[in-house]
Amino acid sequence: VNDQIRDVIREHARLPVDVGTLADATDLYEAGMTSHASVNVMLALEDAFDVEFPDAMLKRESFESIAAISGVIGQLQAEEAA
Amino acid sequence: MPAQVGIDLVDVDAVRAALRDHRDRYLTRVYTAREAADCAGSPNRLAQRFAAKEATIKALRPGRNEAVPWTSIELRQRGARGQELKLSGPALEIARARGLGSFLVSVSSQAGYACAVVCAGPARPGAASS
Repeated sequence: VNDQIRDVIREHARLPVDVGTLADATDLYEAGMTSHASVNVMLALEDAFDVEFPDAMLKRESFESIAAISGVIGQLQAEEAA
Repeated sequence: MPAQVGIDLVDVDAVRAALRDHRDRYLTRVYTAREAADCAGSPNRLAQRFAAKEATIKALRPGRNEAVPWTSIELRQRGARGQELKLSGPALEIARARGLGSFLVSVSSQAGYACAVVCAGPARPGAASS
C-alpha cells in the first residue's frame, strides 16, 4: 500500500524532492506539498484505492505523511468492507 | 480573540492540471455550485477562489484534526470589483468557536499565480458571518 501511495505522491504532489528519499513519517507539507497539491493527491488516491474521502477526513493530519495516508485508506477500506 | 490574518498563493497551472485530470470531481469536491457557475471553468478564477479558501483556513487556524471541507468556504462576487466570504458547516463552527465573525477578503492574480488575503475579526452586531 505504501508503495502505491508513494507512486500517487510522486505523480501528483509536485514535491521539490524525490519521494523515494522520504520516510513514511516525513511531513509532506514540510517537504513542500502545497494545499492545492493535496487536493490532487486526494483525488488520485480515491482513483487508486477506489475509496472516497468524506468531509470529516479533510483535515491536515489525514494527508501529512505516507503513514497517515495509509492509515486513513485502511480505515476507509475497512468501513466500506463492513 | 484578536484579528487573524491568512494568505495563500496558488499556481494557476496547478488548477488547470486538476481540471484536466479530475474535471467534475475536482469542481464538486472543492468549489460550491455557485463558485463553479461563477467561474465557468476559468482556471484563473478558480485559483482565486482556492486561494481565498486556504487563506481563510489559515486565518481560522484549525487544529490538525479539525476537518475543514473546502466547500464550507465560499468566495462570492460582490458588485463589480469586491468579493465577500460565506462560511458554512465546519468552517462556520470553527469561526464561532474562536469568536470570529467578521471576514474581509481581497484576491488578485498576475503572472500565472492567484493570491488571496483574509482578515478575520471578532463578530460584530449585524456583520455577515455566515
